[in-house]
Amino acid sequence: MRGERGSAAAGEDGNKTHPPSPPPRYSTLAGYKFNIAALRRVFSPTFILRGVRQTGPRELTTRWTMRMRVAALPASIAPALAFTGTSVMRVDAEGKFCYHADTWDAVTNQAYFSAEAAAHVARQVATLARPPAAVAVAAGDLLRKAAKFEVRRFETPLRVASCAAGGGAGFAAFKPLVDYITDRGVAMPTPVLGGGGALRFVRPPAGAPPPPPPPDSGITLADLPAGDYACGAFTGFAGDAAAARAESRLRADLAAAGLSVAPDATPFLAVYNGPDTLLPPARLNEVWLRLQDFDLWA
Amino acid sequence: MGTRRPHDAVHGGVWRIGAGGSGTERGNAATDPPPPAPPLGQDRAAFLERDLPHLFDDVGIDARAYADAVEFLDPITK
Repeated sequence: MRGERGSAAAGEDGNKTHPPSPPPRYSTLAGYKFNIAALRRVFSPTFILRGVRQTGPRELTTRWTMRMRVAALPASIAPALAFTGTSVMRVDAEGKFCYHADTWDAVTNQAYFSAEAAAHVARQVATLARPPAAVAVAAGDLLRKAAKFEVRRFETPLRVASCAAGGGAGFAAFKPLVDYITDRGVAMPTPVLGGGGALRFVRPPAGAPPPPPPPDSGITLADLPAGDYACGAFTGFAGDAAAARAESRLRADLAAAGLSVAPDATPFLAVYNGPDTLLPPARLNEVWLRLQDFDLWA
Repeated sequence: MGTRRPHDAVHGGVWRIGAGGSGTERGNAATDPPPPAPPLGQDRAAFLERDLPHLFDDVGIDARAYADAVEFLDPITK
């Protein structure tokens, strides 16, 4: 079944010879279920319910994260779409749900047909800058996808191997870190985290601690704080100037959204692509800032 | 009768929809009694918390908790 358990809709008489019916209107239960089934077939959604609150005498509001990809395309090339938002759900006098209105965190104009929302979808489909699919990614848990940034939760500290960056965009630290990782047969992780004068490779979140780094390597093992991180993306080669501009934009966007950066937050520069990705629009980078007292429902 | 969803077995006393039978059997409007209409509140929130995670899986939402007319809208759908 496709999202239609307990159906009382037409077309369940088991007669497979009927021609397909036209899509029902969404104002009917059959239409509502058709919409769910169509989404499932086309986009293979993953739906994460964050919580439910009562917001009126006959009204509940849910908060959620939804990830989608085009099911017909191989995962390696299918655009990954993500949305976060809320659903207002109302019940009728019999206590049955009769109204369901979604809002997306990424748009301000929620009214159908929102060109802003359509553009938000189009940008996600069209972007060339995506995390490489074949390597481990310290992704976090997407709590909010706003138009200009995301908020991701890291429940546990990020375990990193760290090395002083030195000059030259951290190239001096890169080789010892690669040697340390690859000597142990560990795949090159992404993103590589710069910022605060160090270059860091994120280690797997679980498992036995790695052997100590060679004493003369300059590498230390450390934990970055768990928490909710605001992540602002930009493309191209992430030099110091570009990273500083991205951090400045992110801080302004967070202030406009009423979110506070933790006073002790170190700005991290997350770089997802190696030097073999030459096309600047295909190179994904992010600035990460740890937030203070992020409220998922605010 | 058919199977019960695990979460209905755990929480069935709250919403009382998962009281036995497979999803399809339970949803037969011609034979099933109408679902109870508890007051809106914690029970309905609890129902959504266990039902909505099935929105896009093989279990699906429990359609009997929905009216025959459901108005749905989002920024690009109506």
